[in-house]
Amino acid sequence: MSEDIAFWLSYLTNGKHLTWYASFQFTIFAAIAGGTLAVLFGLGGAALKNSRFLPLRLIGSTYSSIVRGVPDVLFFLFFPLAFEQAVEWFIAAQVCTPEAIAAQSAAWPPCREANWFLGTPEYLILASVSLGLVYGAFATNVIHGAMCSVPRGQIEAARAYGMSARQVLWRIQIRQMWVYALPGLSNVWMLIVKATSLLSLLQIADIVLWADRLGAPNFLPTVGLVHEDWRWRYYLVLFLFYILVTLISEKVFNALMARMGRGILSEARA
Amino acid sequence: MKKLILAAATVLALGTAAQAQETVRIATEGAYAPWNYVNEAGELAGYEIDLGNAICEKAGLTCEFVSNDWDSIIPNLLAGNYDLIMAGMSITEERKETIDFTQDYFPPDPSKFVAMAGSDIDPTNLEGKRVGVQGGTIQAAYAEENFGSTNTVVSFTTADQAMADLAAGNLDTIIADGPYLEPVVAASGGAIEFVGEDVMIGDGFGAGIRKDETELKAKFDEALAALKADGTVDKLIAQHFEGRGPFYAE
Repeated sequence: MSEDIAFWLSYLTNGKHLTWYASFQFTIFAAIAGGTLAVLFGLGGAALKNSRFLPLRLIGSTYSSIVRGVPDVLFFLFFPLAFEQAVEWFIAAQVCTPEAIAAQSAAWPPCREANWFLGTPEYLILASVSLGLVYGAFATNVIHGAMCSVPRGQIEAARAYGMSARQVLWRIQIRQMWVYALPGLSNVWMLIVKATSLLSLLQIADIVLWADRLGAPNFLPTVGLVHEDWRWRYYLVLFLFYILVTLISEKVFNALMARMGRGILSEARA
Repeated sequence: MKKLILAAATVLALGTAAQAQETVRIATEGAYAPWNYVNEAGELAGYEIDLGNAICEKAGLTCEFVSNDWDSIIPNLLAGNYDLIMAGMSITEERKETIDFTQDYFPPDPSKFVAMAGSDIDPTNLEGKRVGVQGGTIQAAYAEENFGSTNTVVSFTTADQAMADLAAGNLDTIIADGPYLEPVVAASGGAIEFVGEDVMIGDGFGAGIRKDETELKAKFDEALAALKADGTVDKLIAQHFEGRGPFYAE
């Protein structure tokens, strides 16, 4: 029995499993960075949507209505590739000599010097920005709605006190809108958390990829423990991880709600 | 502000591009034992990792192995994410249209069919069956061409996933490389067996490389030829593929 425990303990702490445990950092980073960016893009989008200047208003509504409809998987594949090529195109315009371009036989990049190498850190950042852009469109809608929910009387009173437009925006509208926005933003956050399971699409060795590799049947003693198809056991661990994240998120959002709602919560709930 | 961001991106990109030229990056899949896999310690291991390191040492290159999914391994080579592919890749005319190959480091080898023991499958006469392959392989193209019209060809991201589905009873047969299947069949204790006749596809296994990398290709080929001549390649094959070789002994 104790031998069994020792065996499983050493199996679950071998280098391959340790790499798997370490890969949770990619998922957590992408969720937090993506979530932060989504709120920033959401604030920007909502500010555009609220703008008195028609073209800006149009940009804001186009962003929130079009990007919300694009599947996250598609955007995840499209954005990093398009961004990489745009950067390479820009560098190529600066550094590629005509000879280098002529010598290059591959279709892309235009010359070797213009190649931008993408490793895990770069892909992780691009993935976070993709998440931020896609879910920022949802956040735009949530925040725009929340800003409109701040009672008109509050805004009129602020203006009557002689606050400038900027002061009204920051001190009254944005300060008070969180109470209305947080329930919607918690939904957006959960969507982002779920979308982090897509990281392996960008060659990031994330938790899903490792669960898949560790769970795949192994027939060769040289490779490691010989076992049959164990993928469901590893996927179960991922289930538990995501459920845990959900529970923690709920607690955090409740605390945030209490913090942001001080003094106004009773009115908002009424 | 815009200019600043672009300038920063340029510096970043140029910095990494300059680094990229110092080390030769070799891409592998990491899920195709005994060619390449991740060992218990979480490191890349296998025939191609040992051979790649030996070649780089011989050629005086600093090399680094990176893992990349099989289905995007050629596009990402072309995009410049790495300089070589050593991932149990067969040399074929079709692939030669987009990339070059070094000399082969494993000779042409027949592809084989496997099925669960006692399943009575005849690969020469398949109808209404589910045939498993790893997507983007020479066997996938072969299966599509020969069985596609009257059978369902199911593509998997890795060969191991195909094996899992065969064991789960979702597939009738799998066609794959012999050197991948042999240890699997041997280790299955009779549960999985070879069926039908082997088929010859592909011109051996080599390292894929971009067409404009003539200098690196020459270096790599030279070192590989030297390692074939001094018996290192055969030794590594014997070490990783039980009962195979020697192939390159004079």
